[in-house]
Amino acid sequence: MKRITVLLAEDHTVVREGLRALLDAEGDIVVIGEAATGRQAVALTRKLRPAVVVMDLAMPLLNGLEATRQILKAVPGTRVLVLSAHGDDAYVERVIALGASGFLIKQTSAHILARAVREVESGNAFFSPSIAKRLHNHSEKSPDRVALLKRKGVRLSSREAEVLQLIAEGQANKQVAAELGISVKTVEKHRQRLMEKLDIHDTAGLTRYAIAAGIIESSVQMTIV
Amino acid sequence: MGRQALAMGMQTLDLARIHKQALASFVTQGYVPSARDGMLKRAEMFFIEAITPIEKTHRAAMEINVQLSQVNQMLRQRTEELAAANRSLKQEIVRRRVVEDALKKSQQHYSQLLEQSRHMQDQLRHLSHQLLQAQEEERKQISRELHDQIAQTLTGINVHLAGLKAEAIVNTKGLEKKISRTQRLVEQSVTIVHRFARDLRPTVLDDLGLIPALHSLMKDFTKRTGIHVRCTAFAGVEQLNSARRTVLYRVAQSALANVAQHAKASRVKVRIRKFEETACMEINDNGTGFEVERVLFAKRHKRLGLLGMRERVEMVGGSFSVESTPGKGTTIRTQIPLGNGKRI
Repeated sequence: MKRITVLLAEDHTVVREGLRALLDAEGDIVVIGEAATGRQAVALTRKLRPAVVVMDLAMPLLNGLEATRQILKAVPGTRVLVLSAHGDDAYVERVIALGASGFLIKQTSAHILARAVREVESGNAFFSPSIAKRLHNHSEKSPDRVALLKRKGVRLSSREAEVLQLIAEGQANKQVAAELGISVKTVEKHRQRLMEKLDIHDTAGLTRYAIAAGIIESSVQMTIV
Repeated sequence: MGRQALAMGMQTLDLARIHKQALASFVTQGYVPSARDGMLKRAEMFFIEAITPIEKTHRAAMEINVQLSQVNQMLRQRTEELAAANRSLKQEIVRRRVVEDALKKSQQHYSQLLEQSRHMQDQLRHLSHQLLQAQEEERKQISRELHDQIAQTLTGINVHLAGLKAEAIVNTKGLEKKISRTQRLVEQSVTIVHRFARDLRPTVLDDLGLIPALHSLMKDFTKRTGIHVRCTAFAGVEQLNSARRTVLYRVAQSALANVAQHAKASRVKVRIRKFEETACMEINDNGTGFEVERVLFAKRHKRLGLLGMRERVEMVGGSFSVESTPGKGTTIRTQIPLGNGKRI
């Protein structure tokens, strides 16, 4: 049986041994090397040519980002699966831009590591669920708000949920009215009812609520010149 | 004859004697009484006229004498007055010299004190510089330790638990549940530790740059407060050296923390633009504002953040200002030279 060859690049010994144990327990995966620094990771990848490199971002002597870049350049056939303690958007974007195949948040993905390795080896992308959701939300226009809210024990009409999202995104009543094709008075009525149902009495509170409920992402209007 | 007598040095009395002698001799010559009276009369007249110049001169002399003695008296007085004045002048000179010496001494003392105070001010500035630098270093270290030691250990535990769980499936279902619960606890701990470490010192700042770090900071701010942030930045700000980037990050962090705590704002605007050879960051909120002077110099330093911000900014050669009007919001302005970073 052809087993998937994996190189583990992780500087913290306890974590590395744990990851090794997890993967060793899988019949179709074999760990062929371990690296504790970014530089070692690049060198060993060149030498051993694993199918998948499981790489921690925060390593000494050449961090994971740089090592990823070098590996993908030197050995293009290898897939890189990134592990990180930070699920920060900035890191995820950078890692994807570099050409890595996946991003896992270290502390929550022990149970999906093997699956991630398999997916990535067969050419698919793989992300921790929370990251996948964020990426999904970025591209999709309307998450199922009503369902999200129901999960929180709140019953809002579809229209009310729409208004909530627009207000939470920072739009004024006039703009909300224009976007939904209704009158400003109607928007005000919906806003009133929203606040009563949620027991929230200012816009900032509505925004916080919407973010916490997952209806909108916390976002910053950012312009770089 | 009177003048002659005067010239000869005769006095009135001498002349009177001569006259008497002359008269006596004449009168005893046996003249007729009427002739005698006439002669006496004429003799009287002669005498008076002979006497008069002498008297006059004598009187004049006496008057001159009196005047002289008066002048003498005046002179004596004047001399005494002068002597007294001289004495008091000498005293005054001595007194003045004493005062001058005292003044010189106190001037020396004063300039010594001034020198000392300047020296102490320099030391204070130097110390505060070191303190802020040490604080930053300490934060980096704590953040690293939190990440390396604690978070990693917790993650390691979770990974081992995962392995245990795989084993446990063969044994008891209950064990599996317990392990899952433990894993979730560990995950929570790790998240808390990471948030703490990031607040102390975000690795994004060092790994990816100021703009991504600020972006993260602002997203987190909106998530916590519900206040929207709009940000404009120029890409060239990334050319700032690490110390200067850190200062801008800290100022933004402090400013946002203040808005979250005090301002009751609904909008925050962050603008970072290039101005001559400096990076100029303006953070503005539409909240309640505050009295800058009162807060900056408040005894209990409720907003120690503001003072710390100014100190950090000036340490890297920048300038810092706060504009706030109660009821109209606050603007915090920071300007840092883009330069080589050689000037500390």
